[in-house]
Amino acid sequence: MSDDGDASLIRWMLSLTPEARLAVLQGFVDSAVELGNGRPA
Amino acid sequence: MVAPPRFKDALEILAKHRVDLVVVGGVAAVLNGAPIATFDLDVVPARSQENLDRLAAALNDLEARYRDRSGRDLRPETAGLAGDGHHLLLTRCGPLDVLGQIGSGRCYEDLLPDAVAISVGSATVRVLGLSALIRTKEEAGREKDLAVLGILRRTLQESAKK
Repeated sequence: MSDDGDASLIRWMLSLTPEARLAVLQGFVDSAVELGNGRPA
Repeated sequence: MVAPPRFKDALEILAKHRVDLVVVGGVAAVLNGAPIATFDLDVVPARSQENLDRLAAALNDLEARYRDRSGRDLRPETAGLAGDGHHLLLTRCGPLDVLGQIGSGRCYEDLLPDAVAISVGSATVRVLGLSALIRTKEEAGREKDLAVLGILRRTLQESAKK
């Protein structure tokens, strides 16, 4: 990822509430678990 | 089968049992706005007897077991939680690491001044602030800590602009 990409992603995360940030993480984890189970997320 | 992480549920159960703790690690980084991924919840609890009793009740509620390579069914006990060590657990809400101290020996009381209260669902939890999180990861100096330092520092820089 480029530095600009990092900055954009960080600014987007910072625009969210802490709870919404946690929801982003939870969504990532859920997708990874589904992929690990061999099913589409 | 290992239960997948459910961070909000785990935090709400710990809060329901009124466990005094500071959330650290990857979840703390995310709550502070850092775009990183993690699969476990790291917490540093207060180690007063009253709080350890509440923590033990919460861990029982969470059906916590040690991540034991030989497959033994080991449950955390109050006395064992009183030390400085790390308790790497599996719960019905995913992996939970209960840490006696982090960085260069920083315990709950050391971290508390740098923690901020954040609402998550029905819970209000204390979360280690980004500057302190960076400091503890610098102190720990492990490869996995150093790997995220760049993104944490960038997040701190960006948050200072807001």
